[in-house]
Amino acid sequence: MRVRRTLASLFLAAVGVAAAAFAVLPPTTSIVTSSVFARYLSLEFVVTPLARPFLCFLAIGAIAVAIWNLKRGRADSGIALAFFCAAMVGVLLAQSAFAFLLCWESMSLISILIVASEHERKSVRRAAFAYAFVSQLGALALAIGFAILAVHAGSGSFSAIAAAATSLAPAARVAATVAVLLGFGSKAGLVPLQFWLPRAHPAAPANASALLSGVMLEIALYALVLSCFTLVAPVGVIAGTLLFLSGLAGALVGGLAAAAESELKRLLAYSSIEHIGVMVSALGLAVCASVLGFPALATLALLAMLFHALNHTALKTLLFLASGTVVERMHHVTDLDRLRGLGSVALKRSAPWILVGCVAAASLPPSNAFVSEWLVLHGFIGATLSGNGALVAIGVLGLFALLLGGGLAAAAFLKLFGLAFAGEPTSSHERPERFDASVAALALLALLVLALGIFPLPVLHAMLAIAAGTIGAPAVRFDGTLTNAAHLATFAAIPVALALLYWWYALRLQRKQDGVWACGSSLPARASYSATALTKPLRRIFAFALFPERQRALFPAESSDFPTHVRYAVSTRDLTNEAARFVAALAQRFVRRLRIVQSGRMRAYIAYAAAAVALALVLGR
Amino acid sequence: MTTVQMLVILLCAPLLQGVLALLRARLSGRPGPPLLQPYRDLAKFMRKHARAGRSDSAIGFAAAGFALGSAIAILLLLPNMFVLGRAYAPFDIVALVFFFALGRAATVFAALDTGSSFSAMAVGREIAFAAIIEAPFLLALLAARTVPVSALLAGASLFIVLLFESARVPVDNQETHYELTMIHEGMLLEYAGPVFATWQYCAQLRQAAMLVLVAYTLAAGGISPVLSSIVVVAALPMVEAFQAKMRVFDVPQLATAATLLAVAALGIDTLGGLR
Repeated sequence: MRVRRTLASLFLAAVGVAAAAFAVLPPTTSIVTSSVFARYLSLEFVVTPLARPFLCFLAIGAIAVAIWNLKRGRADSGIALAFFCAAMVGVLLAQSAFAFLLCWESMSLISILIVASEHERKSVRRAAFAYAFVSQLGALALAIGFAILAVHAGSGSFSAIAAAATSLAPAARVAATVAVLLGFGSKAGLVPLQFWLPRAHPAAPANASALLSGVMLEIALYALVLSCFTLVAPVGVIAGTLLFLSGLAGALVGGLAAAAESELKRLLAYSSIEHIGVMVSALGLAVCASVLGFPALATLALLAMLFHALNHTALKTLLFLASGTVVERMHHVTDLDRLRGLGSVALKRSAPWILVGCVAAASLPPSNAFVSEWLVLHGFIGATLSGNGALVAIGVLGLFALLLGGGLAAAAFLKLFGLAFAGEPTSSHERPERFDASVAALALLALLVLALGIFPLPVLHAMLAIAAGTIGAPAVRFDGTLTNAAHLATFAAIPVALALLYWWYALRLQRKQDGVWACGSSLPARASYSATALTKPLRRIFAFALFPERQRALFPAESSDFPTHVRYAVSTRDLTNEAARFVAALAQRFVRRLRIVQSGRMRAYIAYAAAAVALALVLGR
Repeated sequence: MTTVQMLVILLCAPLLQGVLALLRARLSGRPGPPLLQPYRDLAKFMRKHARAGRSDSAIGFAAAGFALGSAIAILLLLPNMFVLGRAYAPFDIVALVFFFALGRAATVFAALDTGSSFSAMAVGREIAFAAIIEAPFLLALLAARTVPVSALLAGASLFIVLLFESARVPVDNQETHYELTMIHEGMLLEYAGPVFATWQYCAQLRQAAMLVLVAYTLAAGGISPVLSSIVVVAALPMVEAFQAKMRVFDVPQLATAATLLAVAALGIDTLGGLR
């Protein structure tokens, strides 16, 4: 068993190392170029500058998950994850429509299988079905979009498509843009196509969720950048504004839902929607700014997006892996209302690193996400100062929504760590956690988070070149902004230093154990505050969007005049989810009507085939 | 010059607290505490035994260091009051807002680490208010640039943020920790000794920094720096003396007002800039 586990982990790590190796290969190395099929079906794989950072993200995620898997998770789950990562490497290297679709579809299918891996539970089956549905619909849109582009360019190669993109007819451009935005947006969890994400990501085992949230969302983002700036470039202000608005909605919806959520993994999934919202709104700003003639602003926004993608990979992989440790140590209890004081016994060694992850997910200093959020917000401030009416509006809206969404997400993570990890444990019969491979994986990711937060400059410079190249901006220099970002990181070192000083002081001190103040009596564990209670003010303030409802059940039910105990439950509603359900119901009714054509009689099918042949002959003449 | 300003604030933040407390007491007809009382309190806390609700946790202590560090970072990022009257110098408003948020987050961690329900109740309110006050904070700082009217509106918006940030009356009450007014004090109920002194000192530093920001914004609108400082220091106890504590769930309306003021200020500022 141990051998299998080690081999599976090695296999996954090897894919990660391969991704890292591709990332550092010299520019424009063609790895496989085979045109044995027709020119539309050529398979081309090239390492492009834009793909390099994403290959690095993939490597980080894969290697961290592999290390974690040495100790926790299903023994052989590394193998499926390795194939999943290999498909993602393929997506990043693919430079022709057919190769891209092939890798994209294998990535989707493998991820659907991984999501469904605990299919004994009904909720998992339903989540996997919703994900499969959205994913296949997205793939269909993508195939149509690529077909339009490839037919126009006369070749399936991305270089030919990019060269021909400027001469697209308006109608074809609109159709292709809509198709690729739908295809990639559904995978990235853009609002309103995000409803599957908070179900599918938590349904998967933790190591798979880490890769789904920490890497696959970034791959979808890569595809969005690729289509906006290469395949259908220039996409225009309207598409940019739509991306921006969808990102804002994601930041607000994700932040609010995360703040109200008390299930650990769903909270993390909602936070992914929030982070993707931040990145996509920055991408929308980059598109609008580059079309309106502000290349420097566009480069800054794209740089911020790229850096935030790296930071999201590190922090979300860390947090989802941590959720896996919680699942194993706490016997599948992931309800924040029931988890208490994990940091003192059950997750004693992991907790400090999880704290780093929570600080990063809340975008607070000294984490890496603080630096990238700072860059994104400076991008929007730049937009308000640009003097262009549309950009000013985008800037003000963006600042407002990102700060509100960010504040809500911060509340969610303060709740997560403060309740589940800090404080007094409710049960003390757990053995204390010891240092092992799973803790090492968390520690490595947390150190990466801190290192990128305190020394961001080298990475920022490397990404600046890539962002400027993607926008096609003439060598923009942001020495001022970037040096400011570096200074900022040194400011962030002040709190860290003082915290260490106080910690040292606390360790030296003989502290008296005298418990919390309880009006002179002793407090039972049940009296500790719950996550649901903690977010009551937020639910009340945002009642217009959350629709909180309280249910009260009296026990025993038959003699409710003298109940022995009362159970309360609070539920909130996710409007985007309900909208999706409504659309699905409508679609189902429509499809039922359509069933008439499937009569089951042979004559009808022969007639269909004959009609299809006739149509093909008429059209192909 | 920034260093000089930082040192002045580091030394005088408790004095400012004393002035505000004295003014508030006098306005409501009480003799009030001595001016130097905050210094005496800090000295008293320093002599006392450090304790926290939980004996084996160091998070609450480390969080105090985090809060103090973030307060110092805020002081380093503040615009310089000594060069007021000259052109409005831009400063890093995003970082400033985030370091304020960091200090708040540290307090929340410390409060939840004690495991006390009383502190957690305060935390619930704090994180809700923190989430809705960040956007007006940044937008108001962004709006105060050149146009006098927009600077005044932004100053008004920042003043509301100041009420949140320094736990003042319509939002919270510094002097008590009853159920109705227990946001900031409630969170620190379990702490004592030098660590509690640190928390109190941090709150004073952050309050002084917020006052500098409001005064600076008003001064950018054309009021002389000295006058704007006096106006702000006088206005705070007046609001406290003549206002009743708001119901907790009415407080968000105050944040909405701050947001609207900030957006209006930003709109006027942008139109002024476009012309």
